[in-house]
Amino acid sequence: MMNDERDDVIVRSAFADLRTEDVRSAASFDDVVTRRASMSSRLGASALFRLAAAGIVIAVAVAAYETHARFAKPAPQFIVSRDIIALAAWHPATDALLPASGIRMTPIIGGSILDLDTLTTGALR
Amino acid sequence: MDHADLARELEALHPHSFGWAKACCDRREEAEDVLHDVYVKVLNGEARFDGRSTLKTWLFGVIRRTAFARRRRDRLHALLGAREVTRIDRPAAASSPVDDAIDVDRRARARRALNMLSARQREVLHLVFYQDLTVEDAALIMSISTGSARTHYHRGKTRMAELLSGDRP
Repeated sequence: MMNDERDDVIVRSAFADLRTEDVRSAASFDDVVTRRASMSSRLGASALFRLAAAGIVIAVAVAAYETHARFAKPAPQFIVSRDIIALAAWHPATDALLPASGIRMTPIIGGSILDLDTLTTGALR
Repeated sequence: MDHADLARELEALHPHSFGWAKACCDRREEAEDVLHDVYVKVLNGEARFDGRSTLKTWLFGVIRRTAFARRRRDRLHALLGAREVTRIDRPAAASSPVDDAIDVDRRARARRALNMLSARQREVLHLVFYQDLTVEDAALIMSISTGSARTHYHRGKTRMAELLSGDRP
């Protein structure tokens, strides 16, 4: 007998033994259909279990949010030092003399001299 | 197929379904619970047979999925520290004295050999040798390719035969 056939016979015989035992011990179809759900099945459907599952989901979501907030890189910020702000607001004391010379005001820092509104004389107008 | 026909079909398949449910579960009580859930699902129309395979193949697929879902749920209960529900299986019907010692020993050896196989090998061998299904049907039930089922079948069969031969007194 070939090995494969021999294996076939051995395994088939073992399963036949198991099937014989099962047939003898099996509950009837009606018993199975009408049986009450087991303790563990009822536990699975219980409100307590669902509540616990919902609690776990919420806890995981909160933990994930906090972890993200803690370790996420802050958005880059452009910080202007106080000195620069003070410099931008600075006006020379001699500004008061400018109207007399026909110039309306000194150009602002960063302003262009081509900006005629900030650097115009009466003569140019 | 109407409700009465379906119930009759389920009843006719019950001995096979029980054997398969038992193969998918650790204990007989669990297998009965799984079967109860499956029968209720099928009879209530929650699980519908679409006629793409035989009723037996389809039903075995439902039993397998239900048993796996139950196992996952039980693991979750264990993780949550749910109270352990201790149950004692009903003793099997008394056997005649004739088949006692030798048959009991043979079945124990068969179960021992099966436990040494991988889950996939156990499943495919059960479906082919116990349920007399083809490897193709087994693949369908196990949701794997036929080629993969064939590999599990051959390796499992060889290994089980070796174990049973080596175990022989």
